[in-house]
Amino acid sequence: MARQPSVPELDVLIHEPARLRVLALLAMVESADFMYLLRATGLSRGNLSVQMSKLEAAGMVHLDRQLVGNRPRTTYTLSEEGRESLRAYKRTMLGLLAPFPD
Amino acid sequence: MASAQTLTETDLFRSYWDDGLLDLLGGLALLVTGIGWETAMGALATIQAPLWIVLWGPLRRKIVEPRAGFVRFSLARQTSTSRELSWTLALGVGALALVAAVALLPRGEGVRLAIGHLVAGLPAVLVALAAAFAGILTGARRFYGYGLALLAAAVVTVLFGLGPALPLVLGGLVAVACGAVLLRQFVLGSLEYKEGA
Repeated sequence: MARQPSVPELDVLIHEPARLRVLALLAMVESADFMYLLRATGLSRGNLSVQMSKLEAAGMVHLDRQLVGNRPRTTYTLSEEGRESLRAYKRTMLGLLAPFPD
Repeated sequence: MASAQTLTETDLFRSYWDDGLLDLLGGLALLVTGIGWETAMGALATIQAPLWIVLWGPLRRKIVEPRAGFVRFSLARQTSTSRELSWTLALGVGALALVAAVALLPRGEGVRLAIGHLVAGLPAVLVALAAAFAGILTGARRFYGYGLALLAAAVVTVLFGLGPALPLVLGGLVAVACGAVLLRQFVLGSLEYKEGA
């Protein structure tokens, strides 16, 4: 008996709009700190903080804390796992929307 | 898809220069050079110009980075920026050498007449070229505007037989004014992020 074709499943960690914006942004640069992400994404401090914690816990981003002068600086980098997950998400979305007419 | 991503990264890189600090310092370099040219310093006034540009890094870290945040662009972007910066610096050093040579070499009356007023416009033309390179480097179109303003001032200088300092002072004033406005907007626009801290 032929298997019923099913709609591909999306990675819910990436699919959340705020996290998707952060990941897409980090995919374009080598690294960025919290303030840069805050301004570039337009998210609130609280929301960004929560999303970054989730992404870090999932291994999607690497965190690096440094002291620059007398100021602490926390920079984020997209991990290889995060990059691969983002590629897979893109493939899924493209496949999902391919039949949809322009 | 690839082009959309490239465009967005380009937008990010362009916005990196929107704070106006580079305009302000570059403008001050030109302004002080122009004013110094009219004094006893003469063409030697150009020597102080690179000092203003050197200040950009520390001032950016002090004023801009705490407000705009820190970003390190991709290796490909860093490589292309370094290459374009090398060209801009080479042009700047060449311009400096040319201006110094023109100003310092002994000239007879015949040579002076042959060169005429064209020499007076030369520094501004060279700085306009450097501004165009800065436009290519940063992707910010206003640098082309500074270049055009300098070229126009150079033409006026040649046509009316004015000194070489005038286009530098005018170009410097335009850049300082634009830089000051942009920096003010940037600092005021950053307040909402500070308040949310």
